[in-house]
Amino acid sequence: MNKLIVAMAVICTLTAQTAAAAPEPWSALPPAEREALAPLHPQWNSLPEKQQHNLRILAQHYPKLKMDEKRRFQNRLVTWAQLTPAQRQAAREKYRAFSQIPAEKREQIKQMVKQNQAVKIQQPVSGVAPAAVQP
Amino acid sequence: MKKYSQHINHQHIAKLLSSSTDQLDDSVLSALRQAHTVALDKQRVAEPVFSLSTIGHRAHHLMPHSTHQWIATSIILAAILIGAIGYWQDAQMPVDMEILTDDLPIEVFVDQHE
Repeated sequence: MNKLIVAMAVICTLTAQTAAAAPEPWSALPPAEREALAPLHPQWNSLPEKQQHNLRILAQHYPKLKMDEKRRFQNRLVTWAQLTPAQRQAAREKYRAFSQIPAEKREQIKQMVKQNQAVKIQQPVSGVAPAAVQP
Repeated sequence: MKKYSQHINHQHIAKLLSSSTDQLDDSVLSALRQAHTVALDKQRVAEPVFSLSTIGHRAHHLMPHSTHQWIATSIILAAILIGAIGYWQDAQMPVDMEILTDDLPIEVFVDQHE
């Protein structure tokens, strides 16, 4: 009797692990997850199982996001999925390190990044315009 | 009675008792001293002392005794652990999600040259 219970527990554990790691075709995803992961629809079935699993965990948090966060999430999702595991890990470490900086300094860095972005956006325009004027 | 109690002088009573002990026999005095010493030795000191004996005794009753009880306890503990992990994972926003939703662009954290 005891051996039977132990065997059942082992089978249940193994089944649960197998189920968690199994790849899920796009059509089998719940509608909420499909909505969250919509930008990845074309390449979903070719993604590794582990990556699919991680992305599905992210998708579970998607309904709790604000509108602008949802927009950012979907805009960045394809870029994120195209990174190598090492690149993603490095990004996580950088983000964790950045999170540990005091809030004031973090805000300063954010402002600097935004200013740099604004300059980068303006540069191609100003670079193209003189060339167009020249004969 | 009230008038009588007002006249009671405590010092006077103490003197009376002292003088009466002087009149006692040595054997009675020594017996009294011995009784006094024994009473002091046996006096219980009422200090609060933390003891694990009670907890241990109760814990013994709570511990599973048979194999079935051990299995049931293990299953309950495993269920609580899985539930706690699930709750923690749900409450904890994965760092990937924070990167993907932060107001800083993803390029700030991603090194494209790796």
